[in-house]
Amino acid sequence: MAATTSMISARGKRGLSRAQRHKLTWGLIFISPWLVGFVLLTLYPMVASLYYSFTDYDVLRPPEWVGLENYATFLTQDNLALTAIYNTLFYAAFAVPLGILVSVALALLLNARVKGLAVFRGVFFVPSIVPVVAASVLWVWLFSTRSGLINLGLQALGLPKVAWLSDPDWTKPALIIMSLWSVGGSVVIYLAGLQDIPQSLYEAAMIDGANIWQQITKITIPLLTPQIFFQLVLGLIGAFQVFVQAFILGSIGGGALGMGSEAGPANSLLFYSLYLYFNAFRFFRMGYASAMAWMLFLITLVSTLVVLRSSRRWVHYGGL
Amino acid sequence: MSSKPVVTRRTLLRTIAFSAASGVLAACGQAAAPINAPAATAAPVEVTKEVTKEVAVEVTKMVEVVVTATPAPKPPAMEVKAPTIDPQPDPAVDLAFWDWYGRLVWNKQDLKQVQVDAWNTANPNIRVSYLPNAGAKEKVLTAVASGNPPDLLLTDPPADYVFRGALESLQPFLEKGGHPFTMDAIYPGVWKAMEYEGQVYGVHKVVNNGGLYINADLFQQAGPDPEKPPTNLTELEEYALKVQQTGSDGSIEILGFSPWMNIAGIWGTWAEAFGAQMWDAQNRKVTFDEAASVKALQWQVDYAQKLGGYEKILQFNDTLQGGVDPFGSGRVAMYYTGPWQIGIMQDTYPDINYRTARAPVPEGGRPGSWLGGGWMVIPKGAKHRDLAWEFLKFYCGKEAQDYEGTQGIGFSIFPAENDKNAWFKSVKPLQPFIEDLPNSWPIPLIPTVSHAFFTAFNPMVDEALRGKRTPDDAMKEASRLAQVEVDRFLKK
Repeated sequence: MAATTSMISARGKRGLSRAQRHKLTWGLIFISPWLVGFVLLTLYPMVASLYYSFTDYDVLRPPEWVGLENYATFLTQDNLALTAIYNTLFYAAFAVPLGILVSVALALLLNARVKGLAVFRGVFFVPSIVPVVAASVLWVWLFSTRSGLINLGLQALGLPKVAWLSDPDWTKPALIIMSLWSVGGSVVIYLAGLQDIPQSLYEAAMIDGANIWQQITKITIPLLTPQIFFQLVLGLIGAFQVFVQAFILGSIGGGALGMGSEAGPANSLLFYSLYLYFNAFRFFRMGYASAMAWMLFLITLVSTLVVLRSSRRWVHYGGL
Repeated sequence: MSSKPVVTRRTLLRTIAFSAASGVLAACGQAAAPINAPAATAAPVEVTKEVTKEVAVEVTKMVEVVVTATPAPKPPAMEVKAPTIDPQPDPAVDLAFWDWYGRLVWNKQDLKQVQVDAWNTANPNIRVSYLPNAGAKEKVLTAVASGNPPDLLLTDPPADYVFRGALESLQPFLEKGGHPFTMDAIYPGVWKAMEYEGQVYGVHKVVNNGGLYINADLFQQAGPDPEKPPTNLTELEEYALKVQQTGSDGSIEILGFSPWMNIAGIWGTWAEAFGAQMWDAQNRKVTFDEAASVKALQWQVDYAQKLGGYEKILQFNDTLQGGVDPFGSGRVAMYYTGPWQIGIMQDTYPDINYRTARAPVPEGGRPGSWLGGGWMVIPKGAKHRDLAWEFLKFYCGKEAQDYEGTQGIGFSIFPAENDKNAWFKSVKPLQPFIEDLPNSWPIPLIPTVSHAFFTAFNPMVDEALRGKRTPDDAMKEASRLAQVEVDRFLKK
């Protein structure tokens, strides 16, 4: 070990000329605002939360080491943990694939050469810059059982009204529908991806007699897989962290039971992050909340790795 | 009408009518706030007989409105004076006063500022700076942990702080005397709410309790006499079913009464009304599963069924527009909430004809409701504890309680002050609340109260209402879940 270290330092000394070292020093000085910020505001809190996750800590009294107790309690004894995990997985399982489907479809439509294309692109992008809180309040009105636009639409089609925000079976679908409204950001990425696909491939396909559908499934989609992959990873991470929408829809439109209403009727909007927040800032179980945060990190890491692994089989970089 | 019409006929009519109505009002001798009636600056206009007649009609209409609308005159103008502490510290000291509450309907920030200003005028060297919306719990706990807390804090139920040792006990100050905070001078429920395991940690500033609001027009339409409000839950049910209106699609158009709307149902209102204690302080046991508590839940389950199912009531909630008061908009015939609703009715829904009644309880049940309001506390490690206590004595003292209560529709914690308050007596809708104050109770004094209700009690009530558990089973499970956390918390 000592040998390796001395070798590295020796190589370091030999490898870096005076000028290079000078450059390195100045480089570090120039990025130091970021470095200091990263170390103090990201790295330190992360390491501290890892430590706290093994303690019983309520801010005022000193943390007390409890080993794996927080993790064990969450996984075996907490009656709301399963609810929170189920709600989050349910949301991720539908919101992420549907989001990709809708945004790819929109990107294909917005890539067509029609009049006023820029206007359409703008229209679809605007929702993604509306702050989540404002959008959530807006959707509470849209989802209103009696006079919400969505139910009025359903009624016009002769369908029954849906109690979007008071029926625990419908609150998550409501949230998923809401998430589809702000796909504008990913549409832009898919649009860029579409522009990247060489026109020559379509020309060749047309010469071979491929129809539009075949062109989409055989050329467009496969060559869009790098963007889809990127969006899948980001979408999964985002879905695991869903918070604001649930917090607002849950507390404004939710059930009627006082404090319980903040997580929607029958806790149907109690997502993982929301429950984590309640543990940390309502119940001041900081150790427990830290453990929850690290478990969420592990869940996110594992699912991202699985997606990464699988990407070898379905992501095509076109060999370009 | 060739010349430019400076004043339209309509405006003129309104102006004259309004001035006349003000005259009528003044003649009635009501303690109305001075009305700045538009001065008769209108250009001389020939008033024909026809116009005179129209004026008369308008005046009659306005007088009608004024007389039939619920009487809720503005409170009398008051001043608040602070004592000067002698000697004044030198150099001057700054006291930070954080307020957990923000722009809630009943949190009168401007009134608080007036009291703080009065103090600062009398005490130039003990300056208090009032910061509303500044007492988020995580912020206060962090401030205490880092040794730099505010000197004073106005907070919601302080259990979260007390059991973490985040507050100075006020016991030593109380023992020194020279203050009005004695057990026999304060409502028993309020005193109970201030004391944790034999130590007083905070003094209530202005209290509120719950009561029943009744829409008199909806009652009259359906039959029940609004002058005879329900006196128990059986009558409440009967009236609720009578006044409830259902739309063509089977959904509730006008709701009779919801036991879970607004402040009803929060903090185990019904369990307490049925006589449950919810917390056994001596043995430090959560007792959500007392017989009374199970009985209360059974009543809620039965009631929901009679009204067409719990889901139906939830769906009704969903039909309410955000920002519109369900009672004020006439969609709910009976409404369980605090006295601040009187202000809402006066400011936003003056046309609704309503009555108030004491909080509904079961026959032979415990009269009253739970007590709300803020607690003034001194966080642990506050730098100027003694001066903070001096301010607290003024701010929670008789005069300031009376001032904020009267101006902001809340009550003093001193029964004698409320009994003396002539204005309270003149506002009829306030009476049931005042009558109930001596019986009202604090929210359960469980150390982990937020956790107990959020993760145990409320979800279990919900499961019972959805038919997933029997009330008995639900309350047993709620007790068990809450106890686990209490034990974990107190073990330290």
